[in-house]
Amino acid sequence: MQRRHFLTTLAAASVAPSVSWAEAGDARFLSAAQNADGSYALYGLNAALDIAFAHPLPARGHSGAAHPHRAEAVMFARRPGRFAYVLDCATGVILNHLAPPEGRHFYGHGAFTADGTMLLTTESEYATGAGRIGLWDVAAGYVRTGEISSGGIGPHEIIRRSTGGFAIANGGIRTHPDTGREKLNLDTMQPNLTLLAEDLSELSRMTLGSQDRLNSIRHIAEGPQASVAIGMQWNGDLSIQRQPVAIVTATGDVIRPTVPDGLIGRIQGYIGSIAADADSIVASAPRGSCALTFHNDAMSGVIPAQDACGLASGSQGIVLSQGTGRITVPGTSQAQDHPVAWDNHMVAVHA
Amino acid sequence: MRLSALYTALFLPVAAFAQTDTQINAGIVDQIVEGHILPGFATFESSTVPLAAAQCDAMTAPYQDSFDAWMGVSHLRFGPSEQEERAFALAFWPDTRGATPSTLNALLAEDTPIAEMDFSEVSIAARGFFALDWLLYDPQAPQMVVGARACDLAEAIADDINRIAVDLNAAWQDEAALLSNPGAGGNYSYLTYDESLRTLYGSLINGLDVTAEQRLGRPMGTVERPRPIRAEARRSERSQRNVVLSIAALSDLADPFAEFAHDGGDERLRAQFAAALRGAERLPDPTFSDTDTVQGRFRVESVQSRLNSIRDMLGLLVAPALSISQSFNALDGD
Repeated sequence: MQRRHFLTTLAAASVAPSVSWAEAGDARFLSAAQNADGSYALYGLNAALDIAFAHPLPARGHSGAAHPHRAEAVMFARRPGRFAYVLDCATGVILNHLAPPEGRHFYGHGAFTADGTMLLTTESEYATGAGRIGLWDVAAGYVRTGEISSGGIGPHEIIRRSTGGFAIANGGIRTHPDTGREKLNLDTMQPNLTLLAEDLSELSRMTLGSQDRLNSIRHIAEGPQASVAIGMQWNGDLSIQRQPVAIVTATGDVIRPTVPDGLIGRIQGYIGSIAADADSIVASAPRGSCALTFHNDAMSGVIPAQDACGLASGSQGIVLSQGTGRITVPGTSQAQDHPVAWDNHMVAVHA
Repeated sequence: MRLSALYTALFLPVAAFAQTDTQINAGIVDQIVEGHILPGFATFESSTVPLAAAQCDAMTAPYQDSFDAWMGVSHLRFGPSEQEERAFALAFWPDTRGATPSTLNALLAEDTPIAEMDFSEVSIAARGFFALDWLLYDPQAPQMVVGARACDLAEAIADDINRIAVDLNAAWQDEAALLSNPGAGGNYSYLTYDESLRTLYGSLINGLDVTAEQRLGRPMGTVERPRPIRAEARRSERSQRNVVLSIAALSDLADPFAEFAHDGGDERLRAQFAAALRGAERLPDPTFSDTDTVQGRFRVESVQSRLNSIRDMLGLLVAPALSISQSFNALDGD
């Protein structure tokens, strides 16, 4: 880093407020949404699922990451994104604009290290298609400090694991900003789940069998006993029904809970988001207007929910958001209707 | 505690997820299933029996009766009617490239005896009511003489219609059970009564669109270029009749939904349907050949605008009760 740049960012960081989530309406969840007037905003929701804060966003967001103790959120643009914002969630001030280096674009998700000193972002080096994880120094004012391989093509969601380290869903699909979301490599695509150690060294790459080559590993969540729950999106012929969920145990075993054919057909082989807590996993299926629940590695039920998508695990259970504005905690009577369209993902704030 | 609550919710989705409207929604689904869908397909199946039994030279009356019965259910384009392209095989229209006459002519010119053909494998353009519309009524079609190839073909088409009608009636019994028992074990077609109702509402709106835009809109063409020869089933002079029967069937389907329309909205909806039906019945030309006159076009257009206003009324009065949404996430993906 150049010395002058370092000094400027140091100055910016020192004036940046450093307040806790309690001062941002005690937000427990974050979600982007479209307001009734068509504008976009980042919302914070408290434990009662009431609005903790609402801050305008310049464009439609996709997902984000919540700083582990400062009331700061990084919101990514929809894929293939060229920008992300860092918001002060107490004031709504945009503290930083993040742009990936030349030749890179964001893939819509990111995660902080446990101590909050570093932000990791999923990116594509689009000239080669190689998946990258961008590294950003938080204290220095979100300065790009480097990057590492994501372990595959098309990294989408990255999560921090409770055991230390990270899990990366390499969806396997190559795209290019010139062609938007067009899938450029379906003939060779090979998704994988890559695990990183706490020092960011690569621990393992897991691929499913050749039958799942077109099943994009896209959204992940830490499940019971340090497992990783995977929600997939099928890119093959819809008449071929492949199981959309996998659970990778801490020892690397792969469990495929059986979702009945009629239900795979209903959801078009498409999982929009996935979340887990100590005893259950929920996977949302926006194209089937429902969410699937799993207990003890088996499917346990279907929750009807129009345009269901966002999921996050909180103290009260797993929270599900819908494009209709509804937020529920499946299995409880807790439900709130807000006059907004909740966007693809919810993020839990682990304060 | 949370786990047991979750299981309760899973096995009793109706109790857990729909609010106080569940009973109303269940009642409306049952009214439509018992009063509209099941009798409609039973009547349709019965109507195809005399058609299949008729000789080709006595087929026009049972053809007309059976087409009448089809109009009672033709708007239910989902589930069994979409599966195996059944509705499409019964009613290949609009035929924008003249595929029906050309496919029938090709079949007439072939050597393979009609009896040896597997009719379910024949091109959809040569099956169903519109194939008979041409064979039985078009001046270019061969005479219906018993024993002639064209006669065998017409009888094979009639048998095929009957076979599809029998399949449809059976398959709709199963679909009716799914519609009426949303969320039951293994029923992934409908998880809630809301979903059953939204599907039925969708077929109502789609049916209104087909009649307004296709049955009435196609012969209207544009002001500069009216296209009366595009009228539906004009050879058998059913264009106006199909519009009348379609409006009557859609009115029957819509009636239970009027429960959602408060403050006199139900009466306004019924009055609009009655006015549309009256307007369609009074159209003087059974084949809409007068759409190339100012008066003729105006009359057809007035029925069309009534149907459009019914669709708008439903959007205002009924759709909100069904939480018809824009699918913010389902359409975006990622």
